[in-house]
Amino acid sequence: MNEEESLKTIEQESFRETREDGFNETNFGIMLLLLFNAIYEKPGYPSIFDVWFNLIVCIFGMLCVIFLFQFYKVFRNKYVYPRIGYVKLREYEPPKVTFGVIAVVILMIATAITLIYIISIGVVATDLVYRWGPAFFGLIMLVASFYLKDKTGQNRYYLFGALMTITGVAVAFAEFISTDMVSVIYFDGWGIALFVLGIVKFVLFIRKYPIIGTPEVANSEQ
Amino acid sequence: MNNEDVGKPVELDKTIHEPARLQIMTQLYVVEEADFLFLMRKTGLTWGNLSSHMSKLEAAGFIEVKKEFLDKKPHTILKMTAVGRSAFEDYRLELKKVFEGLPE
Repeated sequence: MNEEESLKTIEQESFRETREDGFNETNFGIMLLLLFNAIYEKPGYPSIFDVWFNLIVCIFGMLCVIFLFQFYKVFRNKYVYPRIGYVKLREYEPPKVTFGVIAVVILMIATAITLIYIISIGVVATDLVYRWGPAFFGLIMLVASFYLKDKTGQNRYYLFGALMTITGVAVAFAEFISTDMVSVIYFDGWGIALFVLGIVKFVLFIRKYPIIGTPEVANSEQ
Repeated sequence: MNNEDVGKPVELDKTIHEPARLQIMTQLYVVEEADFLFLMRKTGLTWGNLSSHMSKLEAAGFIEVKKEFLDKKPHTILKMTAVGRSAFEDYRLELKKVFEGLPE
């Protein structure tokens, strides 16, 4: 291992530790449970939630996003920093705005608008979108897993991305699941799984790292 | 090592070259900032040791020490300065020169 790789490994270790408290998993699980149930409300189809509930959930979800950073700060001050210490990871400069970057952004916006238009005029059946939405989301998560693998150095993130994609494709092909339930089963299933995983990780984190009293704290309490 | 460099004394920064300080500098190089507890865990140094090395690095202008209160408890945050970052990069280059050309 050369020294460049060693520095990368030290950076990855620090990144891993910031994720050990399970907050990211719990939060992502809640987001999937709350937001997607609201977004995927489809008139004319039976839903496990009624419209009012979805509205409340949607507002709550938005408030969650708005106050997330504040909550996370309080949470980490109380439960994380006294155990593993505080570390702020390096923020790399965003890519410079070049013609290429602008072209990619314009292309992405144009693709999104075209897709929404095609779906809205009925060229692509809405049912098809509902059935294959989870698989598409799984693919996005697969791309995210490459980023997480690079940042943490842990191959398990490939498994996470692959599982989200495979389950997305599996529910799309499962004929016995009605179209309106495909997304509900996928997002609720993953939401619950990630929420539970986050809680388990947090419990393990608390047990693994007891609160460490440093002399600077002890001196201040005298 | 280039032919021109042969015979030239290697100039390793002695402030960084000390093992404990090198550990602190390495940890701070890969992050934006970190507190005392995090560095204690990562380097395996005691509070007293870390505190003394921190003072030396701060005196050299390699790190910046921020003291604040977190839940009414003192909280010390360390951050590598631009001078420290450049000194660490120079140190890496110098060290590389020392081992360059050695058989594997």
